[in-house]
Formats: sequence, C-alpha cells, structure tokens
Amino acid sequence: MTGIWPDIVAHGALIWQDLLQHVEIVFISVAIGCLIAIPMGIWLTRRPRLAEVVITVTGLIQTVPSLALLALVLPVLGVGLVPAVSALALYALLPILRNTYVGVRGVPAGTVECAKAMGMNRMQVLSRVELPLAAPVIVAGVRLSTVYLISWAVLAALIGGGGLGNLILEGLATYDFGLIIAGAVPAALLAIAAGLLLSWLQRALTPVGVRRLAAGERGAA
Amino acid sequence: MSLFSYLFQNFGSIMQIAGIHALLSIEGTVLGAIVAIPFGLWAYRRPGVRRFAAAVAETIQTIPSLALLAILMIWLGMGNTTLVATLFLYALMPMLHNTVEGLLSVDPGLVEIAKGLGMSNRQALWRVQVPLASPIIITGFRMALVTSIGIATVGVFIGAEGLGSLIYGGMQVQSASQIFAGAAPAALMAIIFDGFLAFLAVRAGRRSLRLPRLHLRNSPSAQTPLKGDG
Repeated sequence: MTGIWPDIVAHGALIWQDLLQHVEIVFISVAIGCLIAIPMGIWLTRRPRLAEVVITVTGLIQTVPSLALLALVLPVLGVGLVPAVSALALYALLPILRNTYVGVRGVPAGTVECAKAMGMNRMQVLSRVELPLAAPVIVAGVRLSTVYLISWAVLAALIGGGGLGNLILEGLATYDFGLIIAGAVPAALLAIAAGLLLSWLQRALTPVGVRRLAAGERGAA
Repeated sequence: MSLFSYLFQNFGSIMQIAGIHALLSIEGTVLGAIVAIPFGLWAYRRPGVRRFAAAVAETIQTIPSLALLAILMIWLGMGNTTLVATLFLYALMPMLHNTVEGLLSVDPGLVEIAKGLGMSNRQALWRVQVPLASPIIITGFRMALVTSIGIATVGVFIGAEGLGSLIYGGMQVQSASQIFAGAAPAALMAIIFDGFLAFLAVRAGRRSLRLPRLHLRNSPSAQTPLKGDG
C-alpha cells in the first residue's frame, strides 16, 4: 500500500486532466441518456404492448459485453470522442429507460385515479403524482447507468474517448505499475463516489410519505 | 455476409476460445457462489454483519472492471488467474444480496410452523427457507454469471484467454468481421446462460412450493405465494 501515494503524486497533473475528461465523457453520455430515455420511458407506459418488446430488446442489448459493443462502434463510427460518447449514451439509455418505465408503471392506479378525480389533467398527474412517486426508481436507473458508464469509459479510451483508461491501458502495455495505479485507483474512487452521491440523491428524492411507508420494508436494489 | 466471414472461416478455433471463455466465467462465478451463498446463509440473521458485507460487496461491484483487473494484475501477474480472481470478486455482490433477500422473503409464519412441527433451526433452514429462497438465489447466480461473461472479454488486457482476444485483435486490425466473431459468441453465451438459469429458477420455485405442502398438508400458509420477484 505504501507504493500508491508516490505513483499518484508523480502523475498528478496527468491524472487530474484525465479524471476531468473522464467525468466529462460520463456526464455528457448520462445526460444524453436521460434526455432520451426518461421521455421515452414515460411514453412507453402508455403503450404496454410496445413496451414489452422494447424492454426485452434493451435487456438483450445489455447482455452484449461492453468491450464488444465499443469494438463494434469502431468500424461504424471511427475513432474519437463522438463515437465514444455515442456508444456510452446508447448503453446509458437502457437502465434509465427500464427504470422510468417500471417506476411510472409502479404508481398505484388508485393514486392516479384520485389525482384525476381531484381535477388534475394528464400533464398535472404526470408532473405532480407519477413522476415524484417514480423519482427514486428513475434515479436508481441513473445511478446504475452512471456507475456502469464510469467503468465503460475506461474502455472507451480504446476508441479514442480519452479519460483514465489512457493511463491504465498505457500502463498495461508498457508494464508500468505506476501508470496502472495512477489510472486505476482514481477510476475506482470516482465510481465509488458517484455511486454514493446518487444513492444519497435517490434517498433525498423519495417523497416523505413513501419514505414513511417504506420504513418497515427493506430496500431492494 | 462479410461480417460473418471470419466467424465461418475460423469456426472451430472460435468455438474452442468460446469454450475457454465459458469455463473461466463459470469458474469465477462458482468460486463466488462457494463463498457468498454460505456467507449469506450465516449472515442473513445478523443485520450488522449483513449490512457491512453488502456495503463491501457493493463497493467492489462499483470499481471499473479494467481498473480492478489491472490492480489485481500487479499482485497476481498476467493471465487467467487474475481474471478468475476478478470475476470471483464481482460475483460476490449479486449472490450475497440475493441469498439474503431470498431468505428474508420467506414468510416467517412458515418457519414458525416448521418449528412447531418439531424441526430444528437447521432443519427449518434447509427444508423450508432454502428451498423457498432458491429461485431468488439462483437468480443471483444468473446475474453474476452474465456479468462475468461480459467482464471476461476485458481479461484480454491482462493476458487472459477468451473471446476478448478476438475482439481486441479485431480492433487493432480494424476488422469488423473479427470483432463480430468475438462479440457474437460472447453475447449469445450470455443470453443462453441467462435463459437457462431463468428457467431453472422458475422450476426451483415450482418444486419448492411442493415441499412445505408435503409437511404441512392443508395448512393455509402452504399456499402462500412466493414474495420474491428476483
């Protein structure tokens, strides 16, 4: 363990630059994923039969190994930041889409009926009842996507995405343990920190009433 | 058609590589099961231990695969051993989580009835709780195995065998057909194992429902449906 600090300090500037780039890639990809997947997930709740097909297909895409999907992007889109972000955003879609759909579907029909009976229109039901109740599940999807993407973004260095993967791959290629540590340790810490932050957000976004209801139950992942 | 050309031309050797890939993935996952499932059986009654172990396992799960592979490579060296050790670590979380959740999902009333019928704690665990929890435990194994098939492709960077070598080789020579020859069997393998273990989980669910009924005859609790949704 004594070997870690000198390696980190020695590559300080490089690590900082790659770390920022890593965060940038992941953030852009997750943001694009959210912008597409959340509206699409809500729309799918109105079309249950289509939703089944889409959820099955996204489940299948998720079984494709990360390295394979990134590799297949290479011949189609080439090398660089755009191909890397495209591949990552595509993958980010899946957990967010699934969780948005499951979350909104999970809102009890009675609650929606009540809201309608109180005179809310469809947009109001969505924005004031369905989305707030589904928010923790949706954020859980965003969290899953973010953590996956931090891992995937390491591999995205292969197709020119940059980020901490550069350090690790270079370290592995030249058998330089210092470089490996300098890339791998910050990548691991970044993923852990992002996971914790979004777990906290998930709890913070859970409506008070739901929190009280769920107090007796155990949280499922 | 050109996408399939590499696959068809090298079918025999690709199947061999796929076989190694499957073996390494299964090896890591089974090692994980050997540790995580008994630990879950022991820890599920101890909330403190359970939460601590879950937090540790979840933290490991969060670490990017290439980062963990690279770090372990420093200690364990290049090759298959490092890959299997990494897969083992990633397999812990889903299996520990599902073993604990599965056991906790069993209706405590059923356990009480089993004890009322004269079963010891151990008998109640093995004859009632474990069979009822088995679909969820199998689901944990399924999740771990599918993940490990994916991560095993990354093993190529630390000198492990498997389909990753075809994918990475294909990237270097910019051959979509070679990349596909590595990617398609890996994806297919994940889908097949996923389906097979999902089937096993459903079957275990049906079988386990028969078991308590055998002991409890007409007790209404025997008809309690499984709560787990895995």
